Amino acid sequence: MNWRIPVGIVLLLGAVASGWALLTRMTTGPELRQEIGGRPDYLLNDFELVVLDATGKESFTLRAPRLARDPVLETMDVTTPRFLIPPRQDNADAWEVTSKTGWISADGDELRLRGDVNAVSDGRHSDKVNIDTQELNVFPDADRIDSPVQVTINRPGSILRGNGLDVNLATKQYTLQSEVESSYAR
Amino acid sequence: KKSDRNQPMDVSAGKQEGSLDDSTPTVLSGGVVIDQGTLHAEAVRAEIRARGGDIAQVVLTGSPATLSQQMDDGSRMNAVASKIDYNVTTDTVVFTGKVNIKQPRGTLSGERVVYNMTTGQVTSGGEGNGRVNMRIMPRNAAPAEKNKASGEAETD
Repeated sequence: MNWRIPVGIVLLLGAVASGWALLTRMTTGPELRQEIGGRPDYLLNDFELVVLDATGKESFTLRAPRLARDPVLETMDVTTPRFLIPPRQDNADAWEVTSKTGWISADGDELRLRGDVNAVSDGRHSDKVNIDTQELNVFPDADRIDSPVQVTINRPGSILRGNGLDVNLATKQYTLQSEVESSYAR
Repeated sequence: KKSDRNQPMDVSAGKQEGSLDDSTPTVLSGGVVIDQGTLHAEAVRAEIRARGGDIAQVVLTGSPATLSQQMDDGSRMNAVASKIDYNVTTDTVVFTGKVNIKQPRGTLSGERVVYNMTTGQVTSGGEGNGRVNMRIMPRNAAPAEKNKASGEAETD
């Protein structure tokens, strides 16, 4: 039997298979390609990172035991992050924010903190403020923080609890959207 | 009661806006309930001025806003008005707009009533604040008679 025919068939199947593999690789979304990749492009262990804003001023400092960067989305996942957000103007306070996990957007303008989140102001220019929640989104350049879930705000002489927090860190104006309970004690 | 002012003030509301350093009044809306000792108040909206946890003033507005409190003699005062301005520092409450204050010893209604929580003194009416209506219940009448008597003893 002429051997060229089976060899030809095998080669054809090989060509089809590799073509198919190439085709499916090209049409997969970044997530799948990332999962295929799986590994961050770089890891930092026990580091301190100072992030600057567009004007070169310090936006925030981040200290953590581990940071992994996603090569495709260019976002960063951080373990037990500790963010130090400097005061924006003279009479404002600095804030320190900690949580179990953190996520930083590609251009560093949004931080998502999840799990035992605590934000505390240094009380240098006004009463010390302590904010506790399970979810907090921080927008350093916009000087804003918000949270969709329950938040507790402790200040000297008052405890405030509610859902849907939105705070402007520069003006210190806040809004709690629902289920607000507060207690003022001498 | 006098001791109310030394109790924590618990406030609940649908929504709250303010500033973390109390530099602007805290505005509560969406149904406000305030409790401080025996004092209980309800309103549609409230503004609270505080400084370092010390509340200086609470302004309640509603249709109407209500405030009730137990007196030191154990009796209860119930008041309704369009606006209730509670100045915590001076322990004075100013009721304005369709005011009606009910106490066992009688009722008082008018457009503006000032009530001193420390002395129990009530000042009402005054220039441009319309007429005052007051009904004082006879001291020794038995409760049944008191109700009957209250039908006749109407002073204007």
